[in-house]
Amino acid sequence: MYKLFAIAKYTIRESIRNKVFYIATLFSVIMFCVAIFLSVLGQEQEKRLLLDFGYILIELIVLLTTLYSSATFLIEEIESKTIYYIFIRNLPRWLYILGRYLGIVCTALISVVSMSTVHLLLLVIKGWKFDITPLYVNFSLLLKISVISAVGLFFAIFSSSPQISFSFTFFFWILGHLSEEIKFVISKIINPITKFSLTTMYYLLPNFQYFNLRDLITPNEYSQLYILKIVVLGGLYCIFYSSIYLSLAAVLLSKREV
Amino acid sequence: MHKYKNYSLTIILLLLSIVLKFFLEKTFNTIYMYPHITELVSSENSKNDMIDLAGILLGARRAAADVGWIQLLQYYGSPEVKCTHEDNHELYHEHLNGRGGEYFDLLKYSLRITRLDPRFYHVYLYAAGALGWNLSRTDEALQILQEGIKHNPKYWRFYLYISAIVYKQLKEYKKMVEVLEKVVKYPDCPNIIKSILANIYESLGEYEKCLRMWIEILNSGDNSYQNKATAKISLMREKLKI
Repeated sequence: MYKLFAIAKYTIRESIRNKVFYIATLFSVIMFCVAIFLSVLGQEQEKRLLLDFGYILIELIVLLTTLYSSATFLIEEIESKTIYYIFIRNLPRWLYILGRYLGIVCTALISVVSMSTVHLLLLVIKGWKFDITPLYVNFSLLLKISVISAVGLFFAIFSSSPQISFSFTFFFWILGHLSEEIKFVISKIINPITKFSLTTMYYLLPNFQYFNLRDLITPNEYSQLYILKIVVLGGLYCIFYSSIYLSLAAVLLSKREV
Repeated sequence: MHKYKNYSLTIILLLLSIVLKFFLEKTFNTIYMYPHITELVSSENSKNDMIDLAGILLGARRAAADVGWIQLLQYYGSPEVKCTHEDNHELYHEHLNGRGGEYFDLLKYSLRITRLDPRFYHVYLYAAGALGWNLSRTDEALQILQEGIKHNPKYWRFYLYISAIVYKQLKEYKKMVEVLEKVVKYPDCPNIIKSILANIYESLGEYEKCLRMWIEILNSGDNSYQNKATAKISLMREKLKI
């Protein structure tokens, strides 16, 4: 357990000290200013626009930093051979993967918490009435990032190239959002072989729309219990789905000669 | 044996995820009500189509709808261009000397937004007000409200707006005003509807009600109505001699 937290802590430190993290922080400040400007253009819907642009900004910034972390840290450590110093200590490969994963998710958590605090502060200044919906939305976003981090780690070991890992993981992200469209296409197809192939693909791909609470719920539309049910089910889905890719990543790493 | 144990764990987790997906879908299908990509309305501007597509690919339909809303306000808030000639079956435009216009594409702009985010209630109400009263295209106003009812049958304010437009069509102006007076009491009523009612009060000579309505619009903080509301308030005060 101690080793797991040590790897996670080391990963968080590595992420925060990375130049990309500082660039992402600066970029997010600039983009928040842009979001405020755009929201003013929305006239009566200023608060809605600020809310929506803030959510999407937080998601994109955290996604990019997470994709970068999962694509580069592991591969850099393998290529620089510094990973030997870790495995010399009889550390199981799955524990290493899990530690790295926890570190990436914790870094994402720190980013989401800090950015959403600024976001909510801006909204309150604009006269927005506080409600609990942003907390659910940001938590669901974190679940989405957790799944994509696991996928990113798998592709990092699978491809051994940061660029390919980054690209594959990003395309996976897009495919995850197209699940509902894939389901729609399946309903229109007659050919049984194509239908079966697409249905298999639909069930193998994660459906990121389950974690898109910002697009699904509006305040006062659903009861708190119902929203909590969706979040809990989404959390379970995140745990199972992330575990699939983490276990695959651990198997691949154990087969690699490091 | 050990490596097969690892793969069997992955397979078990995958099967559990698929089972969980079945349960999630039942819950999810009751709240996911977005029209599919084939139902999106093209604005005949490739840049806008790319924005819509990007919104869908990144799971940011609401944000894409918000960009559409800004574009709708810019379109309706600018002096419109009039169709003057055809070239290769495309219509080109010229400016109308800085005055208003017909805004032929207002319905298309509105449908584009509502197909991206069917729960953007404000767009339905705003477009219905603009089309129904300002532009006197009641058929299009009813069309956008019917679209709203199709995606949000429980949002009963649409039926209220339909009744006001129908009374306008039947020239039963007294009943139309009664319905509009109910509509403006709700917090989500767009300022365009309030300004329409204020103008109706002014045309009927009910200056006190007109003044109250413009004060309410001014106090809403909507910058787009600030100058007009201030001018109208001064005018009403002159007429009421207060």
